[in-house]
Amino acid sequence: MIAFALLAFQVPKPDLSPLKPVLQAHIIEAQHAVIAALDQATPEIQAEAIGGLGLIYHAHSFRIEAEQAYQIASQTTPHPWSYYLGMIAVETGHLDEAVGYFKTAIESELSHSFASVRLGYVFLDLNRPEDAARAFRQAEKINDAFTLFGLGRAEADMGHFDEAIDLMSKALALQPDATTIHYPLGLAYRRAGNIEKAREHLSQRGDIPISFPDPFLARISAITTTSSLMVVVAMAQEEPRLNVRDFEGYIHAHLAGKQGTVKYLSDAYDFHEKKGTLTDNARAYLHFAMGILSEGHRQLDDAIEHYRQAFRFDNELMASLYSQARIFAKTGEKKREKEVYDVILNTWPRETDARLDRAQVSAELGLMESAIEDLETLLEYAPETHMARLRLAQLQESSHSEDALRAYEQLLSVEIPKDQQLACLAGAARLELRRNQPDQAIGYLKRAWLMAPNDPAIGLQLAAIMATADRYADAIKIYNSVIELDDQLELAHFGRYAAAILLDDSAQALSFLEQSRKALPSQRRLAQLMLRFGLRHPGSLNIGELLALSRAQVDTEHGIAEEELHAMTLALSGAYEQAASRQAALIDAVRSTDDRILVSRLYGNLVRYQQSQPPVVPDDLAFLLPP
Amino acid sequence: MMKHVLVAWMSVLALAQEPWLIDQASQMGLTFTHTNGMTGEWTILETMGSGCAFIDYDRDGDLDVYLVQGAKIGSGTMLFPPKSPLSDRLFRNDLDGATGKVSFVDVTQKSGISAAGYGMGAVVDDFDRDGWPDLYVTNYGPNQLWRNLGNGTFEDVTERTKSGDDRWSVAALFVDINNDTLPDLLITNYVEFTLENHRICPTKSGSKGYCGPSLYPDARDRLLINKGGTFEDVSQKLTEFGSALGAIALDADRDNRLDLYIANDGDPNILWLNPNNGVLVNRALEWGCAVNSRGAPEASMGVACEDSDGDGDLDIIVTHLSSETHTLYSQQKGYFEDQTLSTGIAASSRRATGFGVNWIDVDRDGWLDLFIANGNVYAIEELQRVNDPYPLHQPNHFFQNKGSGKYVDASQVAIEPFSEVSRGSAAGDFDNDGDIDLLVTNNNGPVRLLVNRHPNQYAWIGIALCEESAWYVMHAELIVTTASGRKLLRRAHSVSSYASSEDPRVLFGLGEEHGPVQLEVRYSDGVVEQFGPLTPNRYHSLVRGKGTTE
Repeated sequence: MIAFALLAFQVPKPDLSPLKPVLQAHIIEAQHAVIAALDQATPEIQAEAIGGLGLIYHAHSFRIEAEQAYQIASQTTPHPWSYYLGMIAVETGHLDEAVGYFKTAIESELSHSFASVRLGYVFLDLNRPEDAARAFRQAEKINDAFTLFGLGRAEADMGHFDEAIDLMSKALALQPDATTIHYPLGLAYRRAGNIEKAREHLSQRGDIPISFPDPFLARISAITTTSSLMVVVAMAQEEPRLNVRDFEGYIHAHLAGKQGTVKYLSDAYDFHEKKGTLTDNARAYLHFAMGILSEGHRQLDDAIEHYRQAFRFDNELMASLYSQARIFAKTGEKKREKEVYDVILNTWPRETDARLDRAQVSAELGLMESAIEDLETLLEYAPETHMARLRLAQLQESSHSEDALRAYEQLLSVEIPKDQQLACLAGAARLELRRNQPDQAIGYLKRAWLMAPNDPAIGLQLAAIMATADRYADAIKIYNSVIELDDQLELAHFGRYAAAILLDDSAQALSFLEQSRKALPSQRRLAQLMLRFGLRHPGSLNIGELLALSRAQVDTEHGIAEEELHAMTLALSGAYEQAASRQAALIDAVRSTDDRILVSRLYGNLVRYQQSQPPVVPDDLAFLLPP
Repeated sequence: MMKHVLVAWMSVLALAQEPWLIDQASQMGLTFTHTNGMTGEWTILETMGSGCAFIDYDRDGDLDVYLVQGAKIGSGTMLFPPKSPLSDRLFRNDLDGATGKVSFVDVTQKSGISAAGYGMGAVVDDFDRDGWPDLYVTNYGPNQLWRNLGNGTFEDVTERTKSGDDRWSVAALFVDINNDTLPDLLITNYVEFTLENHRICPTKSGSKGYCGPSLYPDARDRLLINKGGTFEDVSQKLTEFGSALGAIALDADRDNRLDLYIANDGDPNILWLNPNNGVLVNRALEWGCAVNSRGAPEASMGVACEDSDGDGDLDIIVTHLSSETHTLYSQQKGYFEDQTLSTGIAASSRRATGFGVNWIDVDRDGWLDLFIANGNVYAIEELQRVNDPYPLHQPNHFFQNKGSGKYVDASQVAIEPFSEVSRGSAAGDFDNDGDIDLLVTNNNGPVRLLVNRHPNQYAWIGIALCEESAWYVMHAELIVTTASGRKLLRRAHSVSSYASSEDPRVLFGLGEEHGPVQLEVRYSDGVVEQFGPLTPNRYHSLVRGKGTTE
């Protein structure tokens, strides 16, 4: 009884708090089992129980506690616990200690060849080749590639290159795929003076290790695999809208890292299915894990199928539904995405994220009423969901602009994430512009620009609205800042140029234009913008310059926009007949397209050219506003 | 009497206990804390920065210091917010020649240097051969070439000289590849990491953790030829590449043209031999310095090159992850041999992840000791379990060379027991007292200036070897012969270690010899020149062409 109390007291217990609760529970259960076993069992069974707990600790990287458990167990039965102690010493770089443990393992179980092989490799790392050779020879009856190779390395380190070549060649013959053998074999040939053979083997160097099935380490691997699946499950339950990258990395690291990827899990699935050891839960999570890996490999159809299967075996696994929705969102299959949210909301009607996302997808599908209904429903049961309020305001900008503006203001008065604040400010600015209140709009966007001074999109909007409000000098300042952030934004380059023209500062405009031409790799869009602007503001470029520019564009780009702009320029220059002729040819070319708006606009201007009237040119500054 | 004996004994004890290298950074005004910008997203980027440089930018004869800074990553809130805006810093060394007192002054603003990118490394050389050391800063993002105008200020000439690179560069190296006397520029890039392809790799306990570089595509290295004002991109010559973190130049095949050695993280290292036909050929595997003796590529970080075993040729050391050893490639009969196990550095090096590495003769006995700046890249589970906010820190290592390249781990007596996430390290005699000191940078931590206080009083000699009307000679081999015939080979260089630049002068410890020495210089173009006799215990300013040639 005293012995039991003492042993129970000695059972090491690491701080499990950083672990996922599911693992904590698993380990605590194992600890309880060990303590229960101590009460009843023989010393050998007690040692097995404590050592087994050590394996669990070892598998979870609790090396200190694993070592303690192995120490206790090895006092009763040195084999196999000294072996595991040796492995921990190797893992932590304490090679001298490893020597002691492996020697004990060998002494305790003379047939323990695995310990001899490990000891040999430790001696190699300690630069003790004679000892290494002795250790390998103790295990030589195994006669496997791993041992032969180790012995070969020991012979090479002792300067016995012919023996080394012989042993490593035998190892290679046993495992021809083990490309890691080639390099040390090549070095041995080089040291033996056979440069040709050395080159041959050095050039075949590879990373495929020699296979060495070790039943002792397999016990730890089995625990790691089980735990990994448990963690995947736990993480999926905590965060149904999981970040695939987390899981994929996790599974790669702990399940499939060595063996491959989906195939490893799929083989495991088939193996256990044949053995009849799979529960529905295990089926669900294996499918789920395979879904994650397939998704990571961009095999989206396979991923969808695995996620479906996962949900079939566990209809509580919401993460598998979200995963499907995420894939459909990526592939743009909005109807299918919405159907998945329908399934989620049928089962979990108060699932906030699904309802928000369904509203978004519905809006994108043009189902505004459904979208608004979802958002209003959500706000009824979760009124603090600011994102829902924001999306509702965005949807109501056209129909209920006063309500939307009020909602934006209200959201800006509470604590919401920065991206939502920016969305509110942008929405409020849009509404103020619609109400013809550019100063108010500028006020909102200035706040946004202050919050996100590195976001060129906001700067671009602010500058464009300033230009619309005739504040050209201010607009130029903002455009300059935007270009500093991203000098490839054509709209910013052109906006700056246009604002200088409107400011009547042609020298500055030319200087800007020169800078833009240097910065932008393609001039096409800049030229289009200049032409459109020039057509609306004939003072910015004279008609000769406009004609030269539009002709050059037509000659180099051959695009519809260039043709249309060239016809407009011709018409403005008074060459109505030429303009009409080009316009008619352009209409012939685009008639077959579905773009009815374009064809109708082209017809409108064709009629005007035929009647010697100038073209209708789209509004001058509106196109500067980015969508 | 008894009292005097006691005091004397106690002072001896204190001396015996004082580490050989003592941090004096803050006492000397070198106050700088690196910020890695981490926001809890576990990006690989935050674990890798940053390096440092010794640069005598004002050419007043003492080494100034350039420190590379990180920046915020992504849009989250920084877990360790900085106290001031983040940018690299330049500190001027105001060494008082009379008293030997050193004080550093932050002159970043005055210098005109504005380097606020996510900094990785600093490379010092005189790319335009005007005699003033220039500065190339590698970043995650656009690199910058700062031209020293010679009046205390620098000018960003990256665009004008076409020397930029927008990828994730860590190491870079000025090296005259085509023997036209102009330093060309090698930029080694790490991986194609972005916030979009960023991944998190959970630990075995299910906590979040860092992923390694193998999850991201390798980034291509870049080679630019100096055309006397601008650089021409000839990167197509580099036909192989890996996740590069370190680079050095040496004439490995003795053909009087500099070759390039590139340390890759997880990929085989590369040795670009540079024959006289313009085609670079990677011979690392054949030459024995691509992988370790088991044939395994390792996670190479920092790299250094010197004659560690005193056999008259250059050896290479590359630092690696814990669980691997650092690998010492010793030249033997024209090849390199992995001699790590026989040198005595393997056992300790398995327990820490090394970045910066310096071959320095701290005790001036004529044998090069080894300093390794350590700090893990994966969360250390034991630290993570006790909720350490940045569980990567490890103590640094100091290996004392006991002769012929046989080392013992002397960390406990040589250095203070800081446990930090060290990255860059640069050797230099910043106080001009004839012993070598160390500048060490810490990821998300303070800079350390390790002042050499080794009690040995052995003689020394310092060589400041310059080109006529230009900066220091680089990549030459300097061989000192003492009165007893002992030969000491050292390498004139600036770039070494991890993302860092060192003292371009060469310092020799002479052991117990005190007489004048002869100096032979083998320049990288093959010219050999003799200088001497040279008196010990002082620096000698020598100019190429003013000695005796054979």
